[in-house]
Amino acid sequence: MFFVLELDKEIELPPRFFGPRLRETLEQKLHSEVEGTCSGAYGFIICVVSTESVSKGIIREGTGSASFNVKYKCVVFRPFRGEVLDAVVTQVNKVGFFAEAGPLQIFVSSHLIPEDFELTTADEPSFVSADGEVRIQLGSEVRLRVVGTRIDASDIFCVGTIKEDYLGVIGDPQA
Amino acid sequence: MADGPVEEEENAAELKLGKVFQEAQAFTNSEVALLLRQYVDSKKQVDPNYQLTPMLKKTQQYVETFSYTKNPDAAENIRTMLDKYQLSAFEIGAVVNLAPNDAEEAKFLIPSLGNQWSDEELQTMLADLATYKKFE
Repeated sequence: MFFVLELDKEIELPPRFFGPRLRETLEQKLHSEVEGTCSGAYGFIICVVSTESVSKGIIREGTGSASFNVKYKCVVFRPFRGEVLDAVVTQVNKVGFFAEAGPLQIFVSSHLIPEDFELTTADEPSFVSADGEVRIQLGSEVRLRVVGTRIDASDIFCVGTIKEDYLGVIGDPQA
Repeated sequence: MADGPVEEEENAAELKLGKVFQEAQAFTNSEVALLLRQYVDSKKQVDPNYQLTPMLKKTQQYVETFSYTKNPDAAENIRTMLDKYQLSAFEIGAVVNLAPNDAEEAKFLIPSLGNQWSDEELQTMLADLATYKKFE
């Protein structure tokens, strides 16, 4: 799920930036330091949408740099255990398949794919239902439930299932 | 596995999202798509050579693919409409993103809905939502 959060960050600037464009420089530095990062607590920080406030700078002893506490609002993506979400299949192999929901990687083991799906390796590897109607292959859109999350300091990885009612393939690869 | 005890207790099915996200403002994919489009446009205006971070690019692709509506007015109306049902922020996001066809499906995908709402109420809500469905 996507959220908008208010977070804060200490930004340090060397003295040559102390001037009329100080705030602009701070904002630029904030964007480049936080966007595209991932933290276990807050999830993937997609982009900073606004800067709420900037504290007075505190000069660091020895270096002459000043550090500012910047409060900002940002769009984050954070998965939760039990959450149902849609994802796009990025890789199929004999142990299951990988899918991506935006920045997030999700693995669905073959044990968590309904039993009537068989792996075929002809052409490109894919899981095909017994009646041959449904195919899980590269680019397929699937709806899955997150059953586990592994949250490290700087990365989030999920394990999902499609072995439940209303889950599974919702769209074929887009041409 | 998890770093601390907080992670262990998270469970979206019971709306346990942890301290940070319990009160946070959740956004639907369509709203995020709009927001990112505006964000990238404004960045490109300032700097025509602006490069999206790989994460931003992936996210934008994802929300464009899985957004319920591409119409900004519809996205806003849906929020106003769902606000009157007093769902939690997370539930609103999930209902719009997953757009279940009936009450049964809704309760399966978003179990917390079943605790508060009767099937009839859910059905009305989903019917309301379906009126905004994009025409393709």
